[in-house]
Amino acid sequence: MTILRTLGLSLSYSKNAPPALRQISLDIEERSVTALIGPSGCGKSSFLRCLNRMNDFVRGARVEGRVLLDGEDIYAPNVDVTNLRRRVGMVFQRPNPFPFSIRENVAYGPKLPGGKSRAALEEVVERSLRAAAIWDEVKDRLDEPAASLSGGQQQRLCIARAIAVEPEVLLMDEPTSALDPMATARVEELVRELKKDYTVVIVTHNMQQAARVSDSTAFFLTGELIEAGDTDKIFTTPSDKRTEGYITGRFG
Amino acid sequence: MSRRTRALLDLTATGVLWLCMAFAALTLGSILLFLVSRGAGALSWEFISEPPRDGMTEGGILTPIVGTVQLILVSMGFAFPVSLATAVYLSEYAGSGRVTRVIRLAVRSLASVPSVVLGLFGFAFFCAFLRFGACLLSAGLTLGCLALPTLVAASEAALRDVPQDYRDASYALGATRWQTIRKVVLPAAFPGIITGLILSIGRVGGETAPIIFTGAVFFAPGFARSLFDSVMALPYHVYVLATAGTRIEKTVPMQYGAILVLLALVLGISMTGIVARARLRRK
Amino acid sequence: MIETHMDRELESLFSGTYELGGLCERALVDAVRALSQRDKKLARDVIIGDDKIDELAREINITSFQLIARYQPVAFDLRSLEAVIRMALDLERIADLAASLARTALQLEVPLPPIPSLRPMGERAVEMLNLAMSSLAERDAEKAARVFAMDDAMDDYEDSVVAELMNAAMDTREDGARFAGTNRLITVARILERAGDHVTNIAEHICYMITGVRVKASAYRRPKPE
Repeated sequence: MTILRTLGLSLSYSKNAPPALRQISLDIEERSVTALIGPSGCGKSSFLRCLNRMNDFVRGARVEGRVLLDGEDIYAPNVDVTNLRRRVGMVFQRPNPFPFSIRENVAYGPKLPGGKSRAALEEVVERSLRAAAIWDEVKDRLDEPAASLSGGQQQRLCIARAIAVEPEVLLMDEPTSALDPMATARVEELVRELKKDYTVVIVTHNMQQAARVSDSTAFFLTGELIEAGDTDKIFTTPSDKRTEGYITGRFG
Repeated sequence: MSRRTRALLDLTATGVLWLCMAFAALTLGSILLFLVSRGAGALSWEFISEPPRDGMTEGGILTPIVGTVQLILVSMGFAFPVSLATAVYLSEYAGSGRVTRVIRLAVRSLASVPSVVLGLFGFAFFCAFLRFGACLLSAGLTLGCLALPTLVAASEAALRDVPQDYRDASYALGATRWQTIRKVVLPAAFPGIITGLILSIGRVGGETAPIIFTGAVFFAPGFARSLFDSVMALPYHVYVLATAGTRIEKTVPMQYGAILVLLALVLGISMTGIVARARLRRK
Repeated sequence: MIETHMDRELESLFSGTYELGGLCERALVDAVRALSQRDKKLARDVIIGDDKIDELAREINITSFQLIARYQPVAFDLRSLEAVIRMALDLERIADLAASLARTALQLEVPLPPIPSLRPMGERAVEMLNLAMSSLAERDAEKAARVFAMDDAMDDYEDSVVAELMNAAMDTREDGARFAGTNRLITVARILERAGDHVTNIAEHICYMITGVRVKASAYRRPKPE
């Protein structure tokens, strides 16, 4: 079942520059991992940021077309954007835990609307840290600063923080590009686990990662969606020559 | 360039820099020595705990000490919230439009106003126009205006230093802009903001010109018990002792002593601030 | 598009495949000639040559797997390697079949009755292999698909050879040795037909490599009678 769908999505950052995205129409299936690949500057990160309206913060950014979450356009006039961002979470390229303790980091999101008891928050914190496969490593030091964790642990903490608000969709913008191979492998394993409960859209510049981790792959080039489909098919028999050229490393 | 020349150049540069540093340290050292040698004699417990008597020739400087503290509190009480709000606006809300540029220009220009002009403004505005009269409130507010530009600049720098990453993460979790500022940005910028506060306190504590017309007096019988009382202040006290005292030979040691006390006071407040900031950082 | 290291490696593997194909063609030609001319020396040469062919096929196999491990190839590169590995296997089988023919030639003691269809059948097999190899060199999937239709002719030839052998058997019934020899020749037809099948496989691999679609040769051939 399609949970997220874009119809003719176009994005431009300023009137003078060429559009960053042109008429992107893409369906994202529930509880699957979709990888967005393409060379630098192809628009995959811009596209990702349209899905939770993070591009709203960029002055002058104009969006056309529609983005439907569970059938409803997230760019409609009266949409509650903060609620949208609770339903569509995001993990960033560089791990960015707040300068608080581990517990405070994970509890930040659930605490925002207010009204949760201490016990309820504790439960959410534990559940999220377990789901992010980091509970065992931090359960004895929840009050220590998040900055004391290693890079890979910090990124898993950020994942825990994102899923603490129980989103439907999790957007990941090159989540392992700042991590060493061991930490990368753990995060990839985590993504495979997460897809049981969440829909994941992951931007990656590492083709092998896209091949390892995703069910569907979408290839972007200079703001256009060239090809999208089953990962197996894209990586054995892509339909478009440009897709083939990119994934075999002959350009980009 | 041969190796020998390079090494020689390197040595010369190091030497010159060292000399400059030594010069600066020496200057500071001599000033301190000068002050201490002349003022240490006047220092005693009585000095700091007794109000002045007998035309400033006897007693201590308790009243000016208390007055300076009061002035600092009033000026910061006004300037700190205002400057913080301005800094938050400039850093988090403002665009790059004309209004923003005007505000920035205004704040920066305020910094270059000579302090005596600011004093006159304070007199005309707070004392006369708003009819507060010459009192603690007027003097404090004038000093606050003096401190505004520094405080705004320091706070804004501290806010800008907060990595955009934190804000992104907060928004991505469904926080509003105000929630993000209140819960993430301000706490993260706090050490920097406190530094600005400390610097401003140091500046404000030692200013004379803004308070001469607006509320500081040569002699007050007691402490200022309300905002509308006159107040004595250490810098002004030093000025008075140095120029208009009745028996200069007797007041000279007192004036140097007062300077030392002022330095100690400002240093003390700074130290407290620095320690507090360090504690916050460790958390 | 830049030429990558993978391009050069693949080119080198394809060259190996052409070489292997050429050796197999030679083996088939020689085996059929050894059989029809009862040239025992030629037959022995074919049998010895089989070792060299096995060696080459094995090298191609090993190199291919090394490339997979090193480069984690995808799309065209991956399909090419799959094709190369499978083609080497089929070519090696063809060479084995040629060696089988050669052994049969060694065992024949008496002159054969004339079997007109035998030689053309052998030539047909060699033609098919040639066509497949050139379609690989030209990366031409349509050319490779023509091989499928040629396999129909192989079936026809097989039927002709068997019919002719039956006739010859009738004539030689009294001459026991000749009779036995005639029987053995039926195997030859079967062997050549299987060689044709292997070439058809090779053409299927080539089509998949180029188009990404797994074609079945039967789709291109005339329907088999029930």
